[in-house]
Amino acid sequence: MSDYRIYLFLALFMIGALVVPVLPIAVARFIAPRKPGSIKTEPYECGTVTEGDVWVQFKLQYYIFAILFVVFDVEALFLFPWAVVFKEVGPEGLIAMVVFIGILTLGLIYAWQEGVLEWET
Amino acid sequence: MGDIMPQWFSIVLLDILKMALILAVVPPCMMYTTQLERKAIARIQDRFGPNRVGPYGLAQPFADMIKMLVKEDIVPKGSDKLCHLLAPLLIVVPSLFLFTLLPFGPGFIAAPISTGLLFFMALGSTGTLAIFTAGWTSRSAFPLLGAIRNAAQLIAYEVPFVLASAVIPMIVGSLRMTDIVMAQSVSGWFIFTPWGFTAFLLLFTAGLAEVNRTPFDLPEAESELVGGFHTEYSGMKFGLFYLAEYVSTIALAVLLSVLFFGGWAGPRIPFLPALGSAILWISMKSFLLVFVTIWIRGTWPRFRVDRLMGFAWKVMIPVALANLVGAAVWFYCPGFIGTAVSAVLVVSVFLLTSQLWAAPKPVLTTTWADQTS
Amino acid sequence: MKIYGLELIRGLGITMGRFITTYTVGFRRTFSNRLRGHVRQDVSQKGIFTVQYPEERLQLPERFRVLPVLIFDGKEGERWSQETERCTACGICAKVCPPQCIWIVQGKDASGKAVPKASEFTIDTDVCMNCGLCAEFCPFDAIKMDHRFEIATEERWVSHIHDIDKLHVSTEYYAKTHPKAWAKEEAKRHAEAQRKAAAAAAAKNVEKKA
Repeated sequence: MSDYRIYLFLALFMIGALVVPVLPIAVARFIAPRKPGSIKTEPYECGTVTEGDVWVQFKLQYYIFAILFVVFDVEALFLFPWAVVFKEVGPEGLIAMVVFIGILTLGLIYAWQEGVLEWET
Repeated sequence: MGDIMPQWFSIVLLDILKMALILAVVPPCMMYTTQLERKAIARIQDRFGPNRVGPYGLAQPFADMIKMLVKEDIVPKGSDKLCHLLAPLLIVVPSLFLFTLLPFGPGFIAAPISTGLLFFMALGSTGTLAIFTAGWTSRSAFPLLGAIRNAAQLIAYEVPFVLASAVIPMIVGSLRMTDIVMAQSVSGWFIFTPWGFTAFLLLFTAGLAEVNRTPFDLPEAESELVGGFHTEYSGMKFGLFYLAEYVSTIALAVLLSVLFFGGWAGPRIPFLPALGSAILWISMKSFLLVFVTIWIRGTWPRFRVDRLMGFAWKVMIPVALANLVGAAVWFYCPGFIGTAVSAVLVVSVFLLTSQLWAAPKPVLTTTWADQTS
Repeated sequence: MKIYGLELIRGLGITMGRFITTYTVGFRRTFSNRLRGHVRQDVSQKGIFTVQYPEERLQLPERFRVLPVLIFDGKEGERWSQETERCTACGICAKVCPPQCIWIVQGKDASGKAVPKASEFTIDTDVCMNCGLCAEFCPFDAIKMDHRFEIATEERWVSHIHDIDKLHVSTEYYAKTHPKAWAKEEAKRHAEAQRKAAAAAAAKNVEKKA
């Protein structure tokens, strides 16, 4: 089987799998009662009224972690093609990859001792 | 043209059959996983668990389903109505998708693509988008907190998940799931190698974090965020989040049994065809792993947020990187020396990083005000 | 240096132990006559502690109290009458009742004269808080706390107002639910009767001598 055939199947599955979530929601729409009220549809906050809008800006810390994530995920992306041909490229490939991982590890150690990895709540 | 049409038709029919099989088997599996979880946790806590609906409470999942169906669907005011509806669809479809990539027997795999493992991980991480959509569009404080926590958690645990799984293609030389199982039938299960064992622990831990199971269920922390991202969901939409969580857990268990426990390999069970025996073996292995996740849920408390992030970045990523080197050493020096060296490498990195991570830190004066006082 | 993670594994061992114990104890219970039907509420007991309520029940302690009842001297199944009822309509219970949920109407005999008997006695059970003060204060042992706690109804206006017919239970019923208290009261009543008889006899003797 060629891969194109399989991707066709995956595309078909994406549409077909929608049945599982859509069908119960549609059925529930017909059987479930619908009596919305102003108090019922209020956002939940343990009984108090929400102060201000909750669509707020995030803490800067999340962005720092996001940048670290991008660095390491791109590393992982480079890692996978190498991992597949690991046996063919031999020790030279291993040394090259160890150097690459080593540089990133140094980056992780730097980030750690700079205190970037401390989660401040 | 006359003989092309039936061929095209038979291909589509086969696809539809495969699809129908997955969609018909997976949701009932999920329903009974919830039942198993409730029963097992009840036993751990010296209770009976649900035992009223049907014999031994076996009809309980259906009762739950009916309850979900007849509950009112409440959409909070001020929320993004369309995205509020889309989020449960977005989380269920990828989680079902995972089952197309998993092999359940020789040739019994819906989509045997050559990049199976990578595609699995790519699909597995899309759940966070849906969870973020759910939390953000609810326009409520608790779901938002849950959504942000989930994003941070997934960002942290995706990296060790990917890094730890990279050792499998290194040794197997392929990302195809069936090749991974075949390689284990030659060399023995990967769980018995030092790098395989480490990778299993890392993948299991990171996988639990990705599917938001205890001890990493911070995005839905019932006791602090009243349900987290699905606080504002009710009725069937809430049920779909539940479905996705359990389906992902089962998919994770099947993946782990494929990667480390030899997949469908096992002694032929009498009175069964070869395929049936294979499916039974992989089902038993996956069931055991699902049971372990339930067992963990019944035992361990939840992580603290800062500890959670620290554990991923400071312990799991260094150990995963060391494990890559360990696997290379194991490959180039076979026998006892390679095994010992890779084991010692991983264990020493774990001991070092866990000390640095969890040891009490000296209190540093960081601000001018602290220094003067 | 501390090795992290060992306690996590120990915890898993503990929970697995509990998990298995529920089954071993459960099997022993199923197949042993000695343990069957045994109510599992002892602290030292292992295994599942759940009492499966409608089928299995805990023994209620005698001092357990739900809603007051009135007592008349008689057997179970009989109807109360003015002769057998113990209540004298003194109204102490209504006075001490903290949420004030008792109403009493004094009875009259055939000629219309007020008698020390209650003709109407009403308790609003939604207001009653089961404190038992009425039973503590009753000088005639006429109002007592009951044991019947399954009193849920589908309707909440009429059936929750207990009138005198609904409130009355026989002494036989009371003796069954409260054996210890009943024996004590009987002994007291007996002693009182003896004392009265002795006093009457002594008075007679004194009269005779005089």
